[in-house]
Amino acid sequence: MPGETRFQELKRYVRFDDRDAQLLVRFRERAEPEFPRIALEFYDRIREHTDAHDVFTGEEQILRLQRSLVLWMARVCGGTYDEAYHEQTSQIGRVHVRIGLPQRYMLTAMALIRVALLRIADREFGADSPPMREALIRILDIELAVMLETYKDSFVERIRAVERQERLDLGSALARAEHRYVNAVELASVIIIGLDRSGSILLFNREAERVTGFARDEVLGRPFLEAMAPEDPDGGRSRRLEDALAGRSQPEVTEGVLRTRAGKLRDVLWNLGYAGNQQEDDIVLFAIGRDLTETRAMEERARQAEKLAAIGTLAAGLAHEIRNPLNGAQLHLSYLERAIKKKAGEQDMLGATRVVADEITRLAHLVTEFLDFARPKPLQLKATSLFKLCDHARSMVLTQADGVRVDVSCDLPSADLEFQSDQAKLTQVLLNLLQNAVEATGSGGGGSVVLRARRGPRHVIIDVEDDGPGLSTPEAPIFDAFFSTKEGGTGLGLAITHRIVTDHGGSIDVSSKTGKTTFRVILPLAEAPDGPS
Amino acid sequence: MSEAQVQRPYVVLLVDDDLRTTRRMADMLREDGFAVEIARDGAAAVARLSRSPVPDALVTELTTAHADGLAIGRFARNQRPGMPVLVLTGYPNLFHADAFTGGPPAALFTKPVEYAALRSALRDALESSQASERRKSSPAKT
Repeated sequence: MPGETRFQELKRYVRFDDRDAQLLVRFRERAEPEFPRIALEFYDRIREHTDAHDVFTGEEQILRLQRSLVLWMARVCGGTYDEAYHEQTSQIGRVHVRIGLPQRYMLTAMALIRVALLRIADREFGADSPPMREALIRILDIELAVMLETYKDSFVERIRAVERQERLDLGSALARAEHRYVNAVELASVIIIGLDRSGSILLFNREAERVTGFARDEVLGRPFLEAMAPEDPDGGRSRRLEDALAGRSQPEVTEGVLRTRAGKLRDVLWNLGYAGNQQEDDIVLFAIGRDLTETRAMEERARQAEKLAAIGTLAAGLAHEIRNPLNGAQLHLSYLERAIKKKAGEQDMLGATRVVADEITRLAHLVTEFLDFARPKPLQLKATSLFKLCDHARSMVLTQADGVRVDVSCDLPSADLEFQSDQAKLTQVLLNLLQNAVEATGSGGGGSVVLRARRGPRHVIIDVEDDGPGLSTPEAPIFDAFFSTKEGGTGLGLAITHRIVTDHGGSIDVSSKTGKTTFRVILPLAEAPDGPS
Repeated sequence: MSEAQVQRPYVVLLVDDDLRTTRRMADMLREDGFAVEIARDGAAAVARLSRSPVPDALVTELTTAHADGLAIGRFARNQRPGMPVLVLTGYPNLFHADAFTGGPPAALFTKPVEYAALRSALRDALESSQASERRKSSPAKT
């Protein structure tokens, strides 16, 4: 009926009316003294059943509940059955739900009370009992219906909560899965680029950013070929890409070249994965690439090292073969010199022997230097003081510098520092650079040479700077073996210098103009070993 | 050179397969007062070192046939502890100064060798070796 509450509807359903209410009031007058007994029996019955009993927390609670039950029975027979009554019943139901009383016990417990009350009705009202029984049955079933409704409400609420939780779980599982995939793509040390059917970039991972130097937002949406492929004069690249985008190429491994943001080319080994069943605007081609440039460079260096080692072996053999005849020549020359002296010294002949002796010495020196270059002894790394190294090298060149009016000075940092190096070899490097600088400056009639050392976060920087005339050809490959512009040089000095520096993991460079030539040696400061040094 | 001629001359064994040059060096050393013998390979050197009188000093190439300079040097030190050993070689990298025990470290000369330097090193080594032998045989040793 329109405007009817649920409680009114229930009452109408069981035909509970005012007459029933009056009957119940009459019933209560007789039955009320027996309510405590019924409550006691009621709870004693519950004690027999584990699941029902489990909801109790202790005797005090049972006593309280017994009192509540007495009040409830009085209320049920109270004669007033309005919305407030309905709300109270709902509350009682909600308490049962909250304490977790199983529904079956509520139904059967109601049977206990029903039987007890009907017996009282029969006993007290005799022939008038039937309408009284009907009234009791109606109100008790209404009670039951209302309380069951609270169970239903709670059940629906619980289902909803479970569903909500399940949705949440599902959502977070999806989020977790996605997070994993994103991490896998982002943290992978391979280039991962995804292209749509038109060849535009839709996915560009961190390694791709690192290798190419492009930021993601610079390239997303741009055609891959335009963004980072090198020139494609015969169109072969774009044809191959078209085939791959159309799924016409087999899953394949192919070598390619990437153009970086700075315009450099990187060799990349691509593994193409075609995902053709995607939607038009989704990724159809995953290109997974490994940057081979470093590997290639390493292979190249390994080949160089092998070549050098082979040359070194050859050089050592050659050195022996050269040194032996030189030894013979030298010794016979000493013999000749002695013989000439015995005949009271023919000066011309003595002079000639000296020239030959000088030439032999020079050849021997060349052999030694060439061996140093081609087959260097392994580095003997020791803690080296920067100050001592520089001072020592400077002191070794001072005599030579004084002779040609060149001032050699050190410009050192405020505090000394120690680093791992082969001290003898680094001294050779600095001496070599200082001698070159002194000779260059001295040839111009004097000047000054500065040995400057500075420390960087992970490097030592040592400059040898002179104010001489500068290199005649600054672009010439002066660090190559046998590239020498120096009178009487072997052509190996700077090559050995370069080799020693690179063997230390460092680098050497030169910049030169008239009045300022700087050789810059950069040496790595190794990580400090564990513990105090 | 006069002082060396006063006493019995030092016997020096030269080991090298370059006989022409080695003979010339022997000539010059003899002029300078040494008694010199030559062995052209490791086997001959070991054979000579086994006979008396054991040479006072050994001057050897490092790469010699049958037994190399290191082996000859060790054998020599075995025969006469403390014997001066001079190594001449075109392969200085093959040599370690502490290769021989039982005496002062061997001196290394990279070829080409300057004769004057070799002669004075040889003389110094012999004299200090003689001095230490005299100390050993002296009863006043402490």
